[in-house]
Parts: sequence; C-alpha cells; structure tokens
Amino acid sequence: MLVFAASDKGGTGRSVTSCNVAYRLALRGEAVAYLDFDFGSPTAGAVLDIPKAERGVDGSGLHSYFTRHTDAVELDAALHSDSDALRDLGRYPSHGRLTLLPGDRDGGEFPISADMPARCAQLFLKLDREFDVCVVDLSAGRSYATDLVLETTARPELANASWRWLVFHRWSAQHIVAAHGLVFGDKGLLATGLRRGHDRTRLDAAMRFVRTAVVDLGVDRGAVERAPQAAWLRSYDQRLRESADRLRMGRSRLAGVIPYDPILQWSERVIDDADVSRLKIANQATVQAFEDLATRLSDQRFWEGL
Amino acid sequence: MSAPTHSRAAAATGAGTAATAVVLGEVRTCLLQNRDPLATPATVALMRLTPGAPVSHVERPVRRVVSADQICGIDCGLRLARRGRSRAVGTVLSHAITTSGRVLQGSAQVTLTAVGAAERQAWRHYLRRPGTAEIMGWPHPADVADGFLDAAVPARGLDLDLASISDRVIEAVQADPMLDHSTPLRARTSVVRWAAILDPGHDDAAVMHLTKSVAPGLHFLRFQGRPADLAMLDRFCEEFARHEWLLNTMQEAVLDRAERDLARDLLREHLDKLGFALNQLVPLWMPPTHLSPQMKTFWTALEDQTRYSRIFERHTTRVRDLRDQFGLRSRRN
Repeated sequence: MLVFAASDKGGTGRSVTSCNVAYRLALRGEAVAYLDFDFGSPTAGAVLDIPKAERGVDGSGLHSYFTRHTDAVELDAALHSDSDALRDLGRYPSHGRLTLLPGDRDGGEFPISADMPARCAQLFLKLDREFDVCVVDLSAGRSYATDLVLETTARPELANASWRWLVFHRWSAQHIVAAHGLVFGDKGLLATGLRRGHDRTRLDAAMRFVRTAVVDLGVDRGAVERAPQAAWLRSYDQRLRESADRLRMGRSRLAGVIPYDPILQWSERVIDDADVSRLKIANQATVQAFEDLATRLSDQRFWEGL
Repeated sequence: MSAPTHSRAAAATGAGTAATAVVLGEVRTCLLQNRDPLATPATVALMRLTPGAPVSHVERPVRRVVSADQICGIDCGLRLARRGRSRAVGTVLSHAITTSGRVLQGSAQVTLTAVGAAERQAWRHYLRRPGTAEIMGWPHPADVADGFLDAAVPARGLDLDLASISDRVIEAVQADPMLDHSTPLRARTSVVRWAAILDPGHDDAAVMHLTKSVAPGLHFLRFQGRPADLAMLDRFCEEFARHEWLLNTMQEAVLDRAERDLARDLLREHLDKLGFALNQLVPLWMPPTHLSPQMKTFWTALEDQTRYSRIFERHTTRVRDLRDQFGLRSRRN
C-alpha cells in the first residue's frame, strides 16, 4: 500500500506524524518504507535520527534517482538510526522494519521530464514487492513531486496497486481553508489527478485529512487558565468543526486527530513508549493518536465508506 | 598510470599470471509481480528480452526459462581488498531466469583477466570476448575477489556495480505490461554475491566457501577451481540463490508473520498466504544435485553447513500446521 502524505502549508507536522505512524506500523510487524519526496528540504532523516541522512544523503538519494538515474539508497532504521526506539526495531521477532529512502543533501525541486513517471512507477512497484506500506512524504503545497505521484499512480502498471492520500493541516481557520483548496481547489489534487487520467471516484475516495497540533480542551487543562478563555475556545472549536463539515472535511474524511504535544513543537522526533511511561516527556494521548492513525490506514472499511 | 608502476606492482605481488581469471557475479531473487504463476508460453515470451534471441527452456524437474545474455559495457574502478584500486574495461553478461513462472532472478557476471594494459583499447577489442573485462595492472586475484566481496561497502558510484546490472534485468522483466503487477506475497529480494578464482593449474576439485553478511538477505560465495568449472559455478550460485530466497521467504514473509498474527483477527489473509506458500513455493524446492557429480558434492557440503533442506522441510510442516489451525478457526467463525 502506498500512502501519500501531503499538506498545503509547511509546519503542519506532516513529516513528524508520518514518521511516527511509520514507526508504529513497523512495531506491529509491518515492513515499512519511508520515501522522502520533499526534494527541496529533506527532513525525514532528521526525524528518524539517522545521522548520515540528516539533511539528505550525497548523490544516492531519491533526487539523484530521478535526475541522474542512480540507484536510490535504502537505509534500515534499525541499523542506521541513533534513536533507541528505532534501533530496537528488529530486536523482537514480532517487529517489522522501517527503511528510509532519503532525499539528497543538495536537492531542490526539479521539473518533471518525460521519463520520470515511468521511473517513479518502477520504484513504487519495486517497493510494493517488498514492503507492506510505503509512506511517501511530499513537500508542502503543490509541487513537482505531487504532480509526479499523481501522474505515476494513473499509469496502467499501478492499476492494481492500492494507494491512499493523507492531507495534514493544523486545526485553524486558515489551515482548514488551505487544505480544502489543496484537495478540492481548481488546481487541487483532484482536478490535477483528473487531468492526468485518474478515475474521479477512486481518487476522491482515497482522500483523507489529518488534523494536527489540536488542543484538546478535556486534556490540556493547564493550558486553559480562565473560564472566559475556555468558553471562547469551546465555541471557536465548534465553529471550526462546522466549517470543516461544510468543506467536505468532516468525520467521514477524518483519518486522525493528533493532539498538541509540546515535545513535538520543539523536537521533530519519533516518540516511543518509554518517552511516555518512563521519561514522561510525551503525552500518552499523542502516542495513542499515532497508533489510531496506523490502525485506520490498514482498516479497509474506513477507506471504503465515504 | 604509467608502465613502470605496473611492473613494480607485479613484482611486489609476485602473482597474477594472465592465465588466472577472477569471475565476479551477483544473483538477485524475487517474486514475479503477478497474481498467478505464468504458463510456459507466457514465461518464454517474458524472457525474450532481446527480440529474436533464443530463450532457453527446461521443463523438469522444475520449469526453468532463461533469457538470452545481455551485454553491458563497463569501464569502471575495481576495489582491491588490501592494495588500493584498479580499473577494469570490458563487458558484463547478465540474464533473467524464471522458475515455474513464479520466481524471478537477475544474474550478472564478469570474467576479469589481467593483461597489464595501461590504456583502454577500442571497443571492438572488448566485444570480441563478451563477458570478459581486462584489468589494468597486475593485482593479485585474491585481492580482486576479496575487494568485491567486502560486505562493509556495497559497490556504488564509479566502482564495478553488478548489483545495478542484475537489478536492471529484474526491473526490465517486472515492468513488462504482460504482468498484472499485483503482489501475492511481500518478500525481501535476496542477494548472492560471488567470486571465483579460476586457475588452469588448480589440481583438486573446486572448493566452495559460504558466508552470510550482517546485512539481511545478503550471502557471499567464494570458489577456487579451474576455468572449465565456470558454467557449473554460475549455475550453482543461481540454484543456491533461489533456495536461499525460498527458505528466507518461507520463514520471514510466511511463517513469522502468521505466528505473530495467530492471536489476531486476520484469518482470511493468512489462509491465503499459507496456501500460497504450500501451493506455489514448496514445489520449487529442488536442490540441483541431479545436474552433475560436482554440483552434488557442492550441495552436500552446503547442506552439511546450513541444513537448508531440513529447515525447509520443518517450515513446510509448520506452515501446514498453521493452515490447519487457521482453517479450523475460520470454519468455526
């Protein structure tokens, strides 16, 4: 299964959430590949704490795979990461694996040449032969990478592949409108996909949203000190919900809600159970949200029922 | 590089006669990306990588269809184990193999001979002997073989990269529109990297040595023998690679996952996978002992070291057990 992670704006927590979901899937025994398609600023290496790919690798990343026809290097997180959580992946037979296909250090966006969709299809098929889930982390906004995967998934080779889209946005009025534009806008994913030969129903049914950094009024009591503040937040939250419903971004399209967690505001990293239970530096609710999103990804009924 | 450097190197190593050849090879094995196994005519058509070139085809004991050799020109660096680097110019042969229309292998090999040439010749010189490359200088054969098998650094960049060449054969086949590109079972591609030192003066029977890399799914085979052994060694590596892949896939992709999810509610999916393993993978286990006495000796030595057939048998029994358990449960539900 291919999962495309997109967002209209930067700073939505797209990469950090995707990495954490990939980690949760690997913990459950899935073989997961993480593809850093954020060619301009590859960050997945940093989130997964892989020093040799911190800002991409030299000359053997995905950027070179497309522009210079080299092989794309695969880094097994259990072997290359400095994070204890990721190094532990592989310690028990019940674990799967998490493999990073990093970007290039001096990458940058590039226009799509005629042979790239075929090359991209070849890459997706190859990974689909070996991995249960491939997470493709796209750069923020409309980009060449987005066009490339839309064109690639419309190709006949990938007719039997299953793919899904996760669109990340923060829980704010502006971000909701922006994410709506990215999917449903005139130059949005659906419109572009149709031009590239996608089936409207199939593409439409593959679109889901993930709300990030959401302040949970029931949990974050410390953050809300005064009664008027709480009342305002509650009513505004309600307004945001109504606006999301109106924009076809309501419950049926909602793949996950990631709560606000200070640790992720300061450090984009993979959170493991020790961070919650032993070190107590991350919230249980955050890990639970990642876990729920991982479950949703493989829940066939959720993706069928629109 | 200048000529005096070469004569110094030759004097220093005191070896590397032109007659001793080093053969380097790599075999990659994966599942053909199609829902059902292909029938013979379709497999033969799939293996016709070069229009008009003959496809070799053997029906028993397992159906094996091999494409014609592809020729790929190289002019690349050669990593030496102990003494720096060298350069090789010539051609690499590669071909694709399908077994029972289900398993796909890409195999690449090159025979390296030291001729002491300091400069590259015209291409027609190299095309006269396809599959052969000339090493510049006189490196010691063991250094060439060990340099290639050095697990720490995979061949990349400007060095001889048989990984890419064997991979390209696989990608060329997998991209064929004849395939429906659905994946019945997700399994790791396994890699066997091998090197043989072939010396006409080698008196005894060929010698084999197997090592496993720390990297998952990567094995090394090292041989010593006579030039006449080459075809047998090449075939042995391909057979070993297929059996290694079968065993590993049976364990990693079928058994481990089924055991893991025994308690979970994923019966349907696992019944499919276990059935796939029993019906489509188990029949592929066919050690190549029938091919030649030497092949039989090698395989027996390998079995003594690895107990592959015993393990595979045990895996098969376990898969059958699990299928029965899953089957019972699903009927009860």
